[in-house]
Amino acid sequence: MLGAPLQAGNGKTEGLLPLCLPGGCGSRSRRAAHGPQVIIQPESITDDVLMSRVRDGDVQALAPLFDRHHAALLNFYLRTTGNRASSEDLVQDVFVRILKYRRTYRPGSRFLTWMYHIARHARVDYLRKRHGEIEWDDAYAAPVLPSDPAESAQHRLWLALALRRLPDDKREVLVLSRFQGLRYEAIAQLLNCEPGAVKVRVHRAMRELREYFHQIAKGQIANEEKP
Amino acid sequence: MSKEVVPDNSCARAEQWLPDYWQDELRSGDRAWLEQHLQTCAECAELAAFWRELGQLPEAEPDPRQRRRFDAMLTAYEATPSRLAWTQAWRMWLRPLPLGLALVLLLAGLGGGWWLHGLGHSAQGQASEIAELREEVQDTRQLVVLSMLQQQSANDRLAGVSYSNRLGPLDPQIMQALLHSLQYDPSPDVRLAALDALQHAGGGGEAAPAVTRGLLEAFPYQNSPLVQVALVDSLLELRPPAARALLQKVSTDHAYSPEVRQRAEWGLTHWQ
Repeated sequence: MLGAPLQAGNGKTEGLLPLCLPGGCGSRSRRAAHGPQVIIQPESITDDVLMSRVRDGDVQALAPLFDRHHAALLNFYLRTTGNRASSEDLVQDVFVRILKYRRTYRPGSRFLTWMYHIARHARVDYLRKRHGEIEWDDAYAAPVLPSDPAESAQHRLWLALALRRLPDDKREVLVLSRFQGLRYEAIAQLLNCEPGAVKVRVHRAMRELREYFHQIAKGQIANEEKP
Repeated sequence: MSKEVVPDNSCARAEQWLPDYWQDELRSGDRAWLEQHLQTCAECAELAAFWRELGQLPEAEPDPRQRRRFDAMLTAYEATPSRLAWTQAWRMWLRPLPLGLALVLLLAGLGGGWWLHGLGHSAQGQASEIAELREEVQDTRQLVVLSMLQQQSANDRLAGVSYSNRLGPLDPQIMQALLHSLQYDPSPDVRLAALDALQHAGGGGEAAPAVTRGLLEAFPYQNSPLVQVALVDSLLELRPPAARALLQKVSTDHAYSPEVRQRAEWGLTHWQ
């Protein structure tokens, strides 16, 4: 069986998500922007509403947004930089930038697209500062679970190696669409192109990734060989 | 949106539709056709399996300390009362220089041009005159920055710090003025901007040792958690050996706020 396709946003798109995840924001985020405390049903608060509050000065409303999205951002960075410490720094940088540029957010627009716009810029700046030199660790690009059978673990390793070989722009578009669950329309906004062009890029990136994967599996490219 | 061209070849069509399939954007008829095709074509089924495998890669779990780091950042942000809105700061970047200073620069440019026109005609002579003129303009700009850093208004001082970013390599006089602002300026915004300017201009250049020494010396003068956290980050970026001892002291000293102590502790864990 082919299995179910991805649901919109891989279950992480903006919308009616829980206000706080375990270990999350606590009572602070339920505080109203101004005036007396108001208890708001978590499921009624969208990313857009929270970000609009942040924009208007209620910076504590950023906490539930952090809880909702920092794991996805971490994985975005892990798969595009292959470095845990850098990815954690970048996640933090994204939320600092969200605070810094909060007034540029337009209420009613898609928060997720806006956030990834910031995330991409943060990554470009980070790479520029380090002259593009970040140590890539395959274990972070495609992690293997202890419970994985040996064959799956081997496949994951090959996938990580293939991902590493992919040019940065192709890796990014693939990660955004297949891992981060962004719709092609949202990616098109990020990349400033048509959704059709995004599909073509994803399609080509996938084809190239598969070629690398097969070359690595057949031993035509050594496992440790860097592009 | 432009209508897509559907390939006649079944496998090419399947390959083209797979991106839509995985985002659940295929019409039901096309979806049924694709699923039927995948049952009969081993090569496309293998490609589909590859797509599926890619989407099923396990996700890394964030470190719980990341949430604490975020909380520290948020608290430090809120603890600074007069933080400028980004739009205001940006307007300040774009704001023209005060009229008097602009006139000084204009006169310096005109005078330099007249002087250059009236002197020597050889190419070599002109080149050295241009170099001298550039040096004069640079000196004038530095004077403008030094003057702005002394202004009464915090906005003017902030503009002075911003203007210093455009001067290129960090001049020792400007560096001293920025370090002075970092230590003594009453506005946390000016101190933060001075810190950014110092790190930006002096981080990797000849001035780096003096800048890092200055940052270490400036730490005890800070009373704003936001500036303290920013200083911890800068020291972590520059990594002077003496900073480690300072971070250790800060991480255990209860004179500092919890978020600054946590930040210093986090800095120590990331020290390589």
